[in-house]
Amino acid sequence: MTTTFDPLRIRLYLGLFCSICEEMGTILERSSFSPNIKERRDFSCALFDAKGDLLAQAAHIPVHLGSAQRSVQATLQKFKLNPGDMVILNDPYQGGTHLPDLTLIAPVFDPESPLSHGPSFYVANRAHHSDIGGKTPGSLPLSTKIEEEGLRLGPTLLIQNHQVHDETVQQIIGKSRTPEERQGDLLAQVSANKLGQKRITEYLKRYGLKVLKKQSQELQAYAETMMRQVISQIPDEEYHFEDYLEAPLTLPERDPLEDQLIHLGVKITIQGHEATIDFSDTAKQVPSSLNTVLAVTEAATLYVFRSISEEDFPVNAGCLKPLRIIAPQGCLLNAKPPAAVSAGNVETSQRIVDLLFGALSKALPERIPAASCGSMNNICIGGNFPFSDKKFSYYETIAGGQGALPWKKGAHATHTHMTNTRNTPIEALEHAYPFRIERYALREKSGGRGKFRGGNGLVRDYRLIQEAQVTVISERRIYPPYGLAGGGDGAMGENLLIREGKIEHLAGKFSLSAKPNDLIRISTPGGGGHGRLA
Amino acid sequence: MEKSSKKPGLWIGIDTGGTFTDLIIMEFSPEDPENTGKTHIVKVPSTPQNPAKAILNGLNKVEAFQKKRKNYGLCHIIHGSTVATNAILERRGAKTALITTRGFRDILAIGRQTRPDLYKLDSERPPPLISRKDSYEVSERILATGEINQEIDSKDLNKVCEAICRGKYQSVAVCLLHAYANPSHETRIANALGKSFQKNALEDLVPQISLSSKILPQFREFERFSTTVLSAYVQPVMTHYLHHLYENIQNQNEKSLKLTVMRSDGGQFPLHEAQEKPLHTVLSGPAGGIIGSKKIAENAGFENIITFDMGGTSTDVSLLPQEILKTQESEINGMPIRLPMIDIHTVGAGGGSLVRVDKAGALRVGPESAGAHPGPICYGEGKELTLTDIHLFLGRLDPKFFLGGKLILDTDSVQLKMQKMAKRLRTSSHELAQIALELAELRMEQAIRVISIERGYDPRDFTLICFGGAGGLHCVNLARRLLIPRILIPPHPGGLSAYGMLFSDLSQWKTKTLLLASNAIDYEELRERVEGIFEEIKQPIADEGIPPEKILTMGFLEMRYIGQSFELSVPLSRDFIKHFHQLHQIRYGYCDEEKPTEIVNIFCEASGARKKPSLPYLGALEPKEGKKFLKTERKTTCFYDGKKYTMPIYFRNNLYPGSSWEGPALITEYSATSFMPPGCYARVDRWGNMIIELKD
Repeated sequence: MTTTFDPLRIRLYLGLFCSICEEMGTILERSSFSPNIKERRDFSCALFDAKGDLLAQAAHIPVHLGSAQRSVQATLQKFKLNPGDMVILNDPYQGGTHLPDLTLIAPVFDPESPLSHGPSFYVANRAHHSDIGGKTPGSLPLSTKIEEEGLRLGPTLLIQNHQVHDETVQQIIGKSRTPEERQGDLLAQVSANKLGQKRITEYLKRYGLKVLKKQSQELQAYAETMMRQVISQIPDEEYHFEDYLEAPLTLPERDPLEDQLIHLGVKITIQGHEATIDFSDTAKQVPSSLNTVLAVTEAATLYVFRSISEEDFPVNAGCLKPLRIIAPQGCLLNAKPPAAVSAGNVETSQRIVDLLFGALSKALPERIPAASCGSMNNICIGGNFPFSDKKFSYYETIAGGQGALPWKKGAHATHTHMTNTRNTPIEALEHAYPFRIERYALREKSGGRGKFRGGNGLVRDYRLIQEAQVTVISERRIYPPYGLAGGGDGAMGENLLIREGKIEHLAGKFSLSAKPNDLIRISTPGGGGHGRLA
Repeated sequence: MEKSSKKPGLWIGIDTGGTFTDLIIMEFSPEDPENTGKTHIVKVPSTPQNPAKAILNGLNKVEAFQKKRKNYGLCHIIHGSTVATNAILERRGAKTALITTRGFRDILAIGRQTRPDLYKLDSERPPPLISRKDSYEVSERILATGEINQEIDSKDLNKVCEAICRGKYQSVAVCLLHAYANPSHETRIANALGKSFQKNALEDLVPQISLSSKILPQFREFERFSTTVLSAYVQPVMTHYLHHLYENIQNQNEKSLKLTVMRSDGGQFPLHEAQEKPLHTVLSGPAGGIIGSKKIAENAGFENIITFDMGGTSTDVSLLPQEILKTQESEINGMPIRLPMIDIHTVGAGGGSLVRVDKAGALRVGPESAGAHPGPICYGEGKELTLTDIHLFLGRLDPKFFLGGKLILDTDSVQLKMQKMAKRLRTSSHELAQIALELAELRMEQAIRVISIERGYDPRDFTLICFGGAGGLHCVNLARRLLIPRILIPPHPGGLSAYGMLFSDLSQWKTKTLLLASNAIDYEELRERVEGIFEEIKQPIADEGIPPEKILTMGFLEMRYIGQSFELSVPLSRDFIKHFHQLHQIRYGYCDEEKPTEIVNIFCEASGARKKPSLPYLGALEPKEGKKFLKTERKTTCFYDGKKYTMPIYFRNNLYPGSSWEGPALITEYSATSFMPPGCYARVDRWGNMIIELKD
């Protein structure tokens, strides 16, 4: 550790910086249009120092933890920003995560310093847009290459010298099936950044650059100390675990199980205050959208370490320092172009958590829960409104069971780990889209057995009343969420099509043209159980 | 009817709190048009097992109520009750059944699928109030348009009715999908239930029936179901309680008694309505405090106020830009209630907030609290430092006159603990104390920022109304941080809620989901719909004897851009669309006049101004002879900003209209202490308010 912090005042600094991020988030949540932003809270707002290192973040969804730092750094490599500039990007291979996540970055200049010194801080926010022009409606196609997933933008000036670049805006909204929604969301994002700039400028005037700079360094040192403290509670040793993702292009009746599974392996080495997380024993990138870039792998790792801490602590560049993450380029968890990555955020991120918790359960058996549902059960329905050319595009995720804890049963029907999606009210979606929900219920007995039972998943029945394209990306359909300490596995999920009274089993990932009166039934996995039944 | 009697009458405001039940009694005489009668304040310990007992105990202490009773005419009691609130918090409500659409009995258990805490591995929503075995399904279906897609299956319905009769339920909630758009199926189920209760001759155990289409005709099923079920759950408890209370008061004296009940939105309603809509009372105590603040501030000449109520575990703040702002987004114990309530923002910073060192060695304050037990170290039982201990250490609490001298504070234990913690943080006890206060004040400052600056209001245009036991210890620093120019501390800050209840109006509201594009309906048609609702809600107020010309009505449209999820409330006017854009600009920093908007709900309110007391006038500003000088009780030492000061202690009771003084000073009263640091000036106005000016 190079810097120390003032133990008396550090929480004061933290309060100041975090409240800016929270306020930016309020604007985004309440005035945006994409269900992913306003309901899923799939966005984050963050502040960065002059080097582009993360200072403070309000992550309303853990999959964004720490990951915007790469966006700012990619931007700094390409541009020297001036007052009145704002950059946009979404390319996972140039600082992004997956294409639907649009990140906006803006510089903050100290009013007392000469312009030539460059920005003193940066603000950024990232939000998940519901359609960015992928090959099927919604943001999660069954893709094999990134080109199929929609518009791809490296760092690009959205606003230059206070002037909006119309071509850039047109490029983004032109690609989308729901351009008005895109425009509204971008406006909300620009507003949030402007507010962040305004607030930091106020602090600069009140405290001066020198003071804020020192506080920034101390905040990073504080987060680092916290992370070291968490790691030091884990006994020094090597911990291994393996788990699986499910390949989309295989068929249960055709292919042997091992061909349908994608292997993920981890080795965690704890040495005092530091941890090495080595994903080398993980499959190479695959021709499906399950790949992730390193930013997502880091976010999932940060989530795991933060959630095993008994105390909340700030996430910033400091807490990444004691963590060494190894994921060879070209592997599933550090993909390179042209790998598709859209489902990496939603599905693979959950599996990384299962993988790390599985390994750490051997180190901290009294703290670590059994596997939760392990899938966000993504469903997209798109098509035309009845008697109209107007298109609709619906996307939602469905919760499953929470893994049982060593001291208590798992919760039913709850989004866990990397997501915390609110559902769209049935009465709201039946108002907006041409389909109906006929059942929305707990899936009985789907939680794993054990001294403490895993939580139950959900059953949701969609009745189509119009022809539509239905795309589902789900996991844990052929390999169940694990139980721990002798507890049973959670029940696997199940996707069914009921057409004219006939039941058809569907794969974990499918895209089909549904007919009027078709019923799609999604049953989500339960959580694993904990402890042997007495 | 509000009778005009020659005999003097009584107004009594009653606020049942967790620890104390406060009664404020004002006498009024027909000969005194100003209504500036005598005011009595009674504080009695609450009796949570039977809250009515404390009220009766309190009333018995009021001389005017008892001995000279024959001399009095009408007695009007306005009651803020926590009976419904506590029934929910302690899960002691009625045995309740749920009837819903087939396929949806788990809606309450599923909630919105979210967990309350992102990083706690065992984070879990509270279990639903009604378990699965008490949830019944009926085959039927109404669509979003209100169209009936499937009629009620009568076999299903009969079975459910029988099961409910057998189940010995006290209350039944009927919540069907899309019932806000068409209530006919809910009504049919209610009728069928009624018949079967008769047939089965349940007699004294007839369950009460609550319909979601009546309680909250708004879309979003989970929130509507939750609100309806909460209401059904507390209704039998509340009905019984209010009935019991009324009978008992009536038994004690035979004078003409009128009992109305305070609601969470600041209005009041007659007893029979409170029995039907008990959930409207859950935040009635805090609402009384806001109404009281508004009345007192207006009287003193301040229109824009921010209220600041700091208690033992949390701090409530609220912003009133000349009017009371309301919200429908509230919850109790994690369960949503979509009924209008005064918009009060709460943060976890109170006198009991823990001051501790975290695992990285950093100083933290709250949000964890020592609560009432074990409480602060200085009260004698606590083991961990709290904000209250810090104040004592800094000389801002008078150890000998806490709660009127009933509790002698333990200064030595606090000092010992402070020294230990300061050593660990390599600092002095004084610096530690100062930073701990700053941390707490930062959290309070941010709470006020959220409701003011973040919503487009400038705190410099507001007066801070400070009440609650600990508010006076922080208010000056807080005002300085936010550039609020002035603070008003009302007399009896502990009894402000009960006091405010005397000044609330009889009111009614009704909300209706519209979900229509703004350009699909014109102003005239909206006006017509709103007028229709006004007629409905004015009637019950007129029934209480308020003349029609004294009933005010207001219509609001809850609007958003098509595609958004959160609405902004705009008063109904010809320019409502323009106003929406303007409000959006203020709240979120942008607007787009090209973008289509929609009206989600219509919200209508009617209020009838009752005859009310005036605020007691304490006299002219010239201090009376012999009271020219402030009586200093004692001097004490305090520390502020690292410096040591000797300051006087004043008793609030000895301050008179016209008294003025400057900081540093400590002002103590029975249940509150106020600290004035150097550099501010205070005076007492003719209503006994203490007004602190910060401008130099």
